[in-house]
Amino acid sequence: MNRILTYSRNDMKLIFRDPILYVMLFVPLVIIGLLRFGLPALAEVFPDMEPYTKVILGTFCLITAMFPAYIYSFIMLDEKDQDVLIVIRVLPISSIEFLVFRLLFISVFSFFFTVLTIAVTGIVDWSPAKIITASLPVSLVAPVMSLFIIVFARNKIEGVTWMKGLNFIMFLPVLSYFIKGSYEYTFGILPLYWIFKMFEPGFSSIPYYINYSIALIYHLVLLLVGIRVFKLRVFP
Amino acid sequence: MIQADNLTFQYPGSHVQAARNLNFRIEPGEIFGFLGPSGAGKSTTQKILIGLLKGYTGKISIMGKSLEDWDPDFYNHVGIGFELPNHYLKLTAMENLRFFGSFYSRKKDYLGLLEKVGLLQDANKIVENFSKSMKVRLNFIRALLHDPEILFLDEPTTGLDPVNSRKIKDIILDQKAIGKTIFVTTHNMHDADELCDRISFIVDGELMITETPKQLKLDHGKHKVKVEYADGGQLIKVKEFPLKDIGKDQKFMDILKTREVISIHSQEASLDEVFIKVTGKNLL
Ligand SMILES: Nc1ncnc2c1ncn2[C@@H]1O[C@H](COP(=O)(O)OP(=O)(O)OP(=O)(O)O)[C@@H](O)[C@H]1O
Ligand SMILES: [Mg+2]
Repeated sequence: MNRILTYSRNDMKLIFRDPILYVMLFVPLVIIGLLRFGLPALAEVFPDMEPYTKVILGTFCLITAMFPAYIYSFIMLDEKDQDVLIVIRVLPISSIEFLVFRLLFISVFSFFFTVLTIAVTGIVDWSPAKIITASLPVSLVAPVMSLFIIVFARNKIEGVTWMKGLNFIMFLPVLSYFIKGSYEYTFGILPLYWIFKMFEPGFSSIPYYINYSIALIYHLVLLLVGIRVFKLRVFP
Repeated sequence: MIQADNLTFQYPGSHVQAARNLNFRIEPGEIFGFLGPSGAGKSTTQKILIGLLKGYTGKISIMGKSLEDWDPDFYNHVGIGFELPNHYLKLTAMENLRFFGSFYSRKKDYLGLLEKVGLLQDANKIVENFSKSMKVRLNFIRALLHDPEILFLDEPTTGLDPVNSRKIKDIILDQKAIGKTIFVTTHNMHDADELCDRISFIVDGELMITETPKQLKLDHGKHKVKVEYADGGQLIKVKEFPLKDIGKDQKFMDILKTREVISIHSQEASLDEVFIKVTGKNLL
């Protein structure tokens, strides 16, 4: 418990003393606000949008959920750059503890933003239980993304390149909504396909609970793989 | 306290061994130095000893336990000063110390440590705005935070002015006085001479010799005294005498009795000279 306090206090200082990170913490809230009031207005102007509103909701859940990944990737790339990670490696804690807390914080922020996006925008009338469970797999995306950035990027500039690249790949499954037939399932290689399908099955005939389970398990596996790679490459 | 047997290490992807068949043993309460030029393998050896570099061959035992058998509790017993200062630049000195200090259960005296290295008035300044020397000093006291039994200090005085260098060296000697075991690397032979009970010369990953500084200087110096004296009027003369049976050396005694002696020096070598003689290399 004490340890959580130590870590979170430190993280908050690191975030709030950097204007860029600080702003990134509030951007999701602004996005959610805009969605709340902007989306209904848009729907009135473009009635053809109607079948895509849930895809849009899924997209925006992921967009807001990614901000914690950006924030923490920057923090950890700084830690890597300034060799603070080496000091952390020689603390009397298991080498993975620090990372696990970090990933947990990222996940909690993501979870919070996702729940808020679904609940506040009012696009779907899901029960609180469904909102919360649906937000779980979404909240695993950001930790996975940060892990890959921290492991492979050597500095912040490379980090930004990785973010752009990963973002591009992540949102490719949106294309599946424009493809009819079994080809669309090839997008299932990409983990986010399953999250999108949780929000809007589109042409897919796979039921919600299967999409949900695959999304959850796929991201858990990626998370474990990411931690393993981190252990090998960053904390050998 | 620390023992290395046939320690060899090669960085992945490199084709030279950064540490070659190192053998040394550091006794409890001793200050043991690695003295060598840049790229010799000093930092590499320290990183291996503190468990940061894996994949070495040979055996390392610390506090009677093989390095591989230690769990993270190891870091409760050792304090580490890294070669380059590494801090959270956005946090203050105090916040840095408190964050890292919170991982140790022993009682910490943050202010006392800051004061010892002249950083007390800078305790609440953001480290980003620190000078190089201030960062180095903050780095140094972080190693002492948890009052560890063993200290590993990689070039603790590099980048410091003489006054601050003095402070750090005094603290190191104080630590020895209270029984700590200290491994220190340096390419400054004055520091090595002053601090170390024993030093190893390291060149290209190899240990050339391990001895006390005193013995090194004696072994490689000339066993002579050089006397400068005024011979009558303005004339200053210099003469050398072998140390052996010097009390029976009539000429030497005559000079002492009858001339005005200006200086007498024993001709022991400086550590620089010994280093060049032993390794064939310059220290810098
Ligand atoms: N990460 C690394 N990968 C590959 N080779 C390395 C790495 N770090 C150091 N080396 C090489 O290992 C050798 C020993 O380096 P090391 O840093 O231990 O020297 P040093 O004695 O500490 O030097 P200095 O006085 O400059 O700090 C050098 O040849 C160096 O180029
Ligand atoms: Mg070095």
